[in-house]
Amino acid sequence: MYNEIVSLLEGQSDVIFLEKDINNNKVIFIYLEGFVELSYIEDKIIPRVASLDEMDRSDSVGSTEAVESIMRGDVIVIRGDAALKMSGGGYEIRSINEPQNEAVVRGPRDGFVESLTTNISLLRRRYLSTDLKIEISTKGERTKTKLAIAYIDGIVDEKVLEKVRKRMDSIKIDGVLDSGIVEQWIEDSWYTPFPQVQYTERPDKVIASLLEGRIAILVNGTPIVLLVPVVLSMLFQSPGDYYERWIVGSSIRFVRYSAALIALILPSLYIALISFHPGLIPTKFAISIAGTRANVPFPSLLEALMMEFTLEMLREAGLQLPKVIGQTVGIVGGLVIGEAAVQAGIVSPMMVIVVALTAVSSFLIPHYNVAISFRLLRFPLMLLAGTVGLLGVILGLLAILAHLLTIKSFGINYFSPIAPYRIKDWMDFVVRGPLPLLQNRPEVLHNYDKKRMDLKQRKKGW
Amino acid sequence: MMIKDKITTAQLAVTIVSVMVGVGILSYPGPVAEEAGVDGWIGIIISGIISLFSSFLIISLGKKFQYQSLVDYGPKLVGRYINIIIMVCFILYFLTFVSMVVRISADATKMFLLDQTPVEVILLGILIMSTYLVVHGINPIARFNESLQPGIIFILIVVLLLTLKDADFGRNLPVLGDGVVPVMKSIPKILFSFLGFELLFFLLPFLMDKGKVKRILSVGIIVVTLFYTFIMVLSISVLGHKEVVILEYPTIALVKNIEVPGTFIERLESIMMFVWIPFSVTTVVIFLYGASLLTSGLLKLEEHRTVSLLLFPIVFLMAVLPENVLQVSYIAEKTSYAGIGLSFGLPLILWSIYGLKKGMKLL
Repeated sequence: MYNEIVSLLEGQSDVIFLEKDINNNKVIFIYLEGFVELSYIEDKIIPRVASLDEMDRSDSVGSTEAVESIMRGDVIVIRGDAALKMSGGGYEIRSINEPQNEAVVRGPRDGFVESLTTNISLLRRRYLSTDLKIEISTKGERTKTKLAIAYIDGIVDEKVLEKVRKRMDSIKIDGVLDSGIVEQWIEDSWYTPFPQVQYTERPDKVIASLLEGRIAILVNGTPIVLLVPVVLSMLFQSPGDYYERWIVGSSIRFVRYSAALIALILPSLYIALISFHPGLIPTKFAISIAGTRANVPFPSLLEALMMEFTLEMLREAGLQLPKVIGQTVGIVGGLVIGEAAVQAGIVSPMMVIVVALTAVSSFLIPHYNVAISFRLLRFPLMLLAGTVGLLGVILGLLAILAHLLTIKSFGINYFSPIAPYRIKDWMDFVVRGPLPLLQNRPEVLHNYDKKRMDLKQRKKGW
Repeated sequence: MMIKDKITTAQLAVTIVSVMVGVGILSYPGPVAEEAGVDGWIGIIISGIISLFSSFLIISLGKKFQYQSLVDYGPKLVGRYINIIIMVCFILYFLTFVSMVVRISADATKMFLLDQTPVEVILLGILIMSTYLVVHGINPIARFNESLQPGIIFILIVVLLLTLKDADFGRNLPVLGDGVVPVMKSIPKILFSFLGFELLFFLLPFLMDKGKVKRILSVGIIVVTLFYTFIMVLSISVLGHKEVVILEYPTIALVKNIEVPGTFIERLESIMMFVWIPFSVTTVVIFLYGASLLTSGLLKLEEHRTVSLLLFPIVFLMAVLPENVLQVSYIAEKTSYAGIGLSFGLPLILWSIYGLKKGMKLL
């Protein structure tokens, strides 16, 4: 047995073979350095081995399984001919922190970490009933990464669940390093700029989604958890909306929708109005804009493209650098370059306002991947506005609408509840309705159990 | 042909409404007022009833053949060859209609928004956008109408309500001052604006739930009728009978009158373009879809995608062909008469053939 394991582990310099003499028997502990602490073996495992008089042959594992468990961080204890598997006590992981990309003003502060078991336990801690089902599988031909599907039995739509399972089973790839790989494998269409899978680092959000009848996909080695299926309106919601009172939540949501619209169309609208339809702007305002633009040598399309591109560069630079320097880049880039460009007469002050407003607006969308798709779509719209004016903007928006209507996420129409109409869902789409009005789970997801709450006791009054 | 996509009854109704409310909405008060004077609204209501009756005929006929498409049940009714002739008529009518709608939209866009841009560019823009949607089939088309139509009709009504300030409803009097004859004469012209429900001949098989189709569709047609009546009455109240007759686009002239203090956009007719381009796009999309559906059905093809791409250059060429607005309106009028024949005459004829064959126990 020992020799078999040794030959299987040949060339692995970080495997430790620890020989100990326990009760006059030679015992060998095999484990990976960095996975198991030596002190853990001395304090926990050796006393246990010592307490066993005779090692039970039936508990012995085969050599292949032994090697696999060593790779997962377990300790293999070999005494005589038997190999016994013992838990390695776990290796070091990042502690549970507040997720930086998804901070909320009000709500829980814990976030997922890189370990699948910890992440699953974070879910279990919040959801104590047994109908939370977790299905673990291994994907990645070489990395053997553990993946888990989580859903709530009795709420989830079996058809969607079946689709998720089927697509997950089809994954045949050498390495699954992040849930992003899984996302790109299981998504419905790859040529659209819109994400068809939602991701989050917040356990409370995952539980909320599971309660809506959705399915979570957890991947070992990443704190990013995927949520499917998703419709566009869900990507404009943040867990904070639900923890605050409904008037606050609704007004924040309204601000967010307007911001998304501004981020999408403001630059193109400006270009169209300035270069094609100055007559549509009130005369006084048109004259003042024309005055500021008098020294600018470029057409407004070029001006806008230049500024937008600069802004995207600054944003990317700010992300790459450490936080403190990132802010400096933002200030230097945004303020200094903007101000200097205006004074040098390269861009007009109006354009700087438009571009800055667009940038701020795009930060308001709570999901980074949707914000990116809106930022991307801005550019074709600007080109259309620069070539055929308002008509281009209208046609471009219609084309985006048409495109959104063709996308599906796991068989669910991406643009519901607008089309097809799910008027009952609008209470949690246009506004974040008061809690008693959110009695039903979203209709778009075809849940089995539709009711969420029982208002009988509440209606009696107090 | 395989029917994989299904649409709900409400989606069908919204689709039919959006075909009917098309490009005509900008101009129809003109010709109507010319014929019927201030009594146009009576003609509109009568035409609405006629359209309702005709669409009921189409639905009932489809019901007799298990809600098949006319392409499929036509041969049983009129024989294979006559059916092919009818289909070809429909295809030609749809294609001409599409190209005229695109051309009229492009002309109006050029007039109000882009006076320097060649009309071909505008045509191409509208056509490319529409074909993109047509290729994806009836389901996205229905959802497109569903998501767009209520919103733009709402905006249009809000904008039009702003004109109430200048409205003098007394201008609509006297009722039937010139007798019934002018109203009757105006009806064919009004029927132009109701064209579109003939698509029911071909869209019935896509219905998911066939039970309530008549009820929901009548709601749709009644909404359209009321909407048209509203605009008609409003334009005469605001502009007066004589002005409505002279103007080419009375509805836009109506909006031009609005002055809302403190608004950013000074000329509200630009908002009208935001409303109107979607209107024309929805019409173009459905007729183009109808044409490709019929062609592929006639050629016994599985899918309409390739056909709709092949029809694209044809429509484009037909739309570019007329040299000026006069030719466009000439062709548009002729097409509309053909459309009236196909949508109001054909159901009657088919019903009589059905009755005859049933009586002779041939079916």
